[in-house]
Amino acid sequence: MLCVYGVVRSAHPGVEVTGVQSQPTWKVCSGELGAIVSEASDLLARRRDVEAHLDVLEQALDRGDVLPYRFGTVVDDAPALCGVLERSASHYLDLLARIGGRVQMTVKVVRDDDESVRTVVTSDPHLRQQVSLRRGSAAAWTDRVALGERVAAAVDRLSQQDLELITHRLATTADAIEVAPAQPPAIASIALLARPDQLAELDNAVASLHDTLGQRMRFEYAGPMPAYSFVS
Amino acid sequence: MTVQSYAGRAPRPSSLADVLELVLDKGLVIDAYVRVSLVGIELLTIDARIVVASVDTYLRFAEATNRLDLQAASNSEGLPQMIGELTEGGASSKTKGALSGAAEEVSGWFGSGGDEDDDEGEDEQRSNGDARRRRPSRASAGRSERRSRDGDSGRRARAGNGQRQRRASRDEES
Repeated sequence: MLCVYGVVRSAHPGVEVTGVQSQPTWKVCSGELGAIVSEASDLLARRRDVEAHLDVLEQALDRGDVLPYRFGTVVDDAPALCGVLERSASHYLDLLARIGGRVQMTVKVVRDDDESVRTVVTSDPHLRQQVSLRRGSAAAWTDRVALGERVAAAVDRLSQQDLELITHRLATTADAIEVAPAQPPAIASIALLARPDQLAELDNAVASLHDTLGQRMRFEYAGPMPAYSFVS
Repeated sequence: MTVQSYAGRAPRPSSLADVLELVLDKGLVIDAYVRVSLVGIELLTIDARIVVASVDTYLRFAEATNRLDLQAASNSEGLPQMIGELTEGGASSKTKGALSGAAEEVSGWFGSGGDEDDDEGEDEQRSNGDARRRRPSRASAGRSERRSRDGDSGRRARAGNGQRQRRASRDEES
């Protein structure tokens, strides 16, 4: 079996780092396109293999444009892979043109619930009154649930406003943006497609968002990485 | 007041879960090929993303308002007293209403009376987190727990389970 990492143009120099299961990587070419591969058997999502997958793709990105495959994508052999590259050539070439010369950056927005609760309760006199009447263990269970529901709704509204500000500011410093919901306490997972010359501006945008919202939001900012979120 | 640290840009997402989300959920797929060895992991990551607004979520936010009270008291000494004075007039009747409401709730769950006390003892052994939620005198312990975020959320999750278990057993009894 061959593990496939990503699609490159056939002129791409390939990578030197080893792939999953410490196997050497090479390039299988078909026409204008090539794919970076290594031998693999019984592939599992072990940490070191997932990291090897990232290592290969990151070096491929350093040396040119690459369309990343999902981790764990395997084909029987090189001829089978060439068939895939031929069938999808126009799609892959379009994608390479779209993401060419660009990298992906990710911003995970993580909410501090306590601080968000403080903000909504202190800024809304009606809600503050509700809290003063219904908080605490003396309140009936149903009252506490009702209060929690109101507070949760207010916090969600605040987060939605914050997220609009965040996406608006980030979108102006990138070529494309993808906003996906995330598991609490995170409220969103944002992927940005940017040119290297936009990165300094993007760094500043994230830093300024931290200055504005850092009290109730944490920004986990990572990249540059291959354009995982922009190749589907 | 929480001032979050901002670490700047990292080369990769810091947690394995975030990395897995990128490399298992995103990227090209070859339709004809099934990744048998990874099926279990894909299911896990999809499961983790299903978020349902539930009673436990609401209780968690209600609990957060209790902590808010503590923080307000430590940050500004004048204000809580003022609020206390403003609501003092109506407070006694409100509290009474809430307590009798709770009594109705409890009798609804247990039929007429029953082994309420035994059940409470069991709860306390099973889940300290839940007991803490009911007893304001333990609030200072809750405050120190906040320093360890992971520990706190683990406790909350257990408390949530306790709540579910108890509701389930009440349903069986009624």
